[in-house]
Amino acid sequence: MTWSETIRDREGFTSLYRAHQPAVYRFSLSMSRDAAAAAEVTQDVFVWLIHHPDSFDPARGELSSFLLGVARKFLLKRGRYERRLVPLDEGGGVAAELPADEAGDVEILRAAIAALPPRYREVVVLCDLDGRSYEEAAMALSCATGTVRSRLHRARQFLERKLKKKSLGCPV
Amino acid sequence: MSDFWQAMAILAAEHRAAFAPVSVERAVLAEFEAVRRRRVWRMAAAGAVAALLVGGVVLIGEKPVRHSAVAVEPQLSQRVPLPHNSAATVETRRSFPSVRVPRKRKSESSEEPFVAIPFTVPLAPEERATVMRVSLSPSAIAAIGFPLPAIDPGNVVEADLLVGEDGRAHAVRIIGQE
Repeated sequence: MTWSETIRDREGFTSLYRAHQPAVYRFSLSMSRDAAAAAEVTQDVFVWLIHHPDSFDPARGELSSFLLGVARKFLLKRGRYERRLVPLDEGGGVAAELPADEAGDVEILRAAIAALPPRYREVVVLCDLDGRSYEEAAMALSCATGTVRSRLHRARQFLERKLKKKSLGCPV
Repeated sequence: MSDFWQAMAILAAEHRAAFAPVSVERAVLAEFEAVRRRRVWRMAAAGAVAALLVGGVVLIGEKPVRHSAVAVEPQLSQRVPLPHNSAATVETRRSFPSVRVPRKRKSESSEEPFVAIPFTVPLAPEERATVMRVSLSPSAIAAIGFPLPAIDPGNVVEADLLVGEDGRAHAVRIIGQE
């Protein structure tokens, strides 16, 4: 079945949705740290695909990378909108709180990933958490493979430093 | 494996266990159905418009074509015997008071008489005739019995034909060379 047939056939589209929604949802969840926002972005991505089926060219790459790129744009748009809103309880702080010293490595790492700047966080989410290749990540992020490599290297250095500080008993 | 990679593996396993709520799937598939219904309606509407257009074109095509010829009741003014059949006669000079035929050379066309075409059945006394303006090649004129030696064979000659109710030309009036 060709792409144009798949996207116009209900069964084809349902199977396409079920195959690709986990990746889109996880990426959105990891980037937004909000399950409701991730669900909304996932819905937006697939509704956008329904209305713009010709935007994807199978000859140019994988659909999953394309959808992640669309999700990233929706997240950026959402982030631009939400930056204008000031939460009443946090006083405008957007950085994630790091856990206390007694928290495990996983919690520290989770908080450290959440505290990364978006351009580093997205490569960690795509390559280290989702297990995507550099090429797939590069296509999703619309950048060069070398850029993905360098960003991932810096992000890992930052995260390892956070864990080392914890193991040495330094405040993180 | 270092602490870092152990923690990362645990986080990755957690990450891969997350799925979008079922409500998202329902909403997306509902939108898919809505778009598909709209597409079907659009196609049906486009088909209906195309059918209307085709019907309109067919109706317009069936309208009678207007000719410059005007049916008139010729008034007999002179009877001339045909050259090869002395028993038969045909009306050659008639007056057409209400005929409005576009003319290139008004003075020429109004003065020239109709000449009977040889070997044609003459018009009946009450038969209606139609004057038609046509362009004829010199060879066609020669074929009906009027050789025009002075005309360039590549040119055409404008003429009025007197056509009877049976659709046959009975007389011709040469207007001039184009």
